[in-house]
Amino acid sequence: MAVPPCVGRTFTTVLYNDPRTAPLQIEKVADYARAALPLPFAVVELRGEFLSHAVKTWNADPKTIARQLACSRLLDPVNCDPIGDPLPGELAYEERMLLDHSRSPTGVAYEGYLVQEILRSLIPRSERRRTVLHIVLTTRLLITREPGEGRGHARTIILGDPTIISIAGIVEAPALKPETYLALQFFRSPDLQSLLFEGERVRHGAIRYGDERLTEVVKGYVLQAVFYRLTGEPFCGDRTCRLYNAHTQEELIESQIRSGRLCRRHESILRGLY
Amino acid sequence: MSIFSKVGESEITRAIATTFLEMFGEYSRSDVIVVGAGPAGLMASRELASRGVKVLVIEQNNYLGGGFWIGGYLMNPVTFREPAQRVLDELGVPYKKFSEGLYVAHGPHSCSKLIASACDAGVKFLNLTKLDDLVIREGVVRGVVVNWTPVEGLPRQITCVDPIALESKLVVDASGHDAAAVKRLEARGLLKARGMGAMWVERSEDAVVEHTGVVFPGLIVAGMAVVETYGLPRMGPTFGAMLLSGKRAAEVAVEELEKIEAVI
Repeated sequence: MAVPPCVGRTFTTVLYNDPRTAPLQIEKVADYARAALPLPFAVVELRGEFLSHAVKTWNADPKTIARQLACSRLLDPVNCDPIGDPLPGELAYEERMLLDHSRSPTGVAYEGYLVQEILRSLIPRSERRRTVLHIVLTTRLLITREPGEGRGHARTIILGDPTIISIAGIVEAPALKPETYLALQFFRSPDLQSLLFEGERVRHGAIRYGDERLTEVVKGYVLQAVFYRLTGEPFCGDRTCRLYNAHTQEELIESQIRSGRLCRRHESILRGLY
Repeated sequence: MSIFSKVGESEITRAIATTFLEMFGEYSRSDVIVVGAGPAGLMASRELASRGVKVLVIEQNNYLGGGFWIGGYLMNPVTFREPAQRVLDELGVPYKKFSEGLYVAHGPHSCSKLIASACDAGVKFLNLTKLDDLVIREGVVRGVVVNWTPVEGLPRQITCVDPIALESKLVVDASGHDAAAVKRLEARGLLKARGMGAMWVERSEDAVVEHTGVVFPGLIVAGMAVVETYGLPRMGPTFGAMLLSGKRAAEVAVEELEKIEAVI
């Protein structure tokens, strides 16, 4: 494992909350990260919603951000094709979502890497340092299509700087059990399929919008972001480790809720970073 | 002694034609023309008329109400997610709480009350009237070109009936999946509709209401036409977004009318 570039220096994790992620308790996430990470990595700074912060503190132009976000909306989440030139209504929608936090950007999917690039471009050079990790919480649904993948996939987390943790992704991306999808194929009506799928979510105890368990889940994703920055390796193969890359709701709940801890190996790696 | 008064056939014809033509002439110029008398169009027109706006609704079918009579799969209970049940309170439609945040009412009762409420508010309707084109002046939609639906349905070789134009300050496209007005702009290369997306019930209703608004100068989009215009996810057999989208369209229309009045 490579020696972290920030060893020996203070390392700051900046967490940007979004009030639309409620009932997620960001203070508890920050406290968890402070307790879990050894000094000097335990410095965790809480800030408000990222885009508002960019407008108010870094003097970003809201109209430019709205246009960039509108351009990153996906025409077709399966093929992951951005819409290109936005309609006036799409621009107006993004401006409203940017400025009014009582409204939530739902029902729209965005190309994840484009959004990450937009956010990265807003961070001033003075804050783009190896010793600072920006983690942005969002309610937007982010889709990416990796090389070799036949279709776009919803993402819970997009690692990098900034790292983006998507609440919509945590709900939508990890799959239910395969038998759910096989059973739904018997119903030809998409209306019925959709309604039955919602029932299956409840039956399987999957994470839902407005779920109190989101706080616990996000704690694990914050650790993945930090590990990625410090070691270059965010994930673990152990299903009971918080760094497990969950592809199903069952795995997500196993790693983040039932276990809610790091495996011995990653615990020792963390301690070794002193 | 007969029960009914003695009136000749020609007098009945004259009553129909005179009444229709009086209204038709008066509404050849309206404040707002709404395309489509489904739940979103009815709601938008009702809200506007109740604020004193002169509203004409064109509907391609003989009947008003669109898909609001049926809740899905030919079953007529219709569902609403909170807070849309408040509109049912306004309309005086009885409903039941089915589960947390979900309400159910009878389609015929909900639809007929909404139609009646729109009529009571002063909305005028042209049934069996199909959008043929838009009136566009200096880059702004300023009315609709219409024809009888039966005429539009026949081959051009049989019918050679020219459409007519109706003027308005604004047009609301509430034509459902057809997105008829939006498609006319698309045909002229003035706008590119996204088409309907995949179903995402839990998230789609908010998105429809949030995207309701001006899509082109002089044209407001409401209801399922919003889904077609912006490529939003489908929502399935639930009607709250249609009613609230109609309300939002009316609010936007009032704002736009105020801007137009300020310029004049």
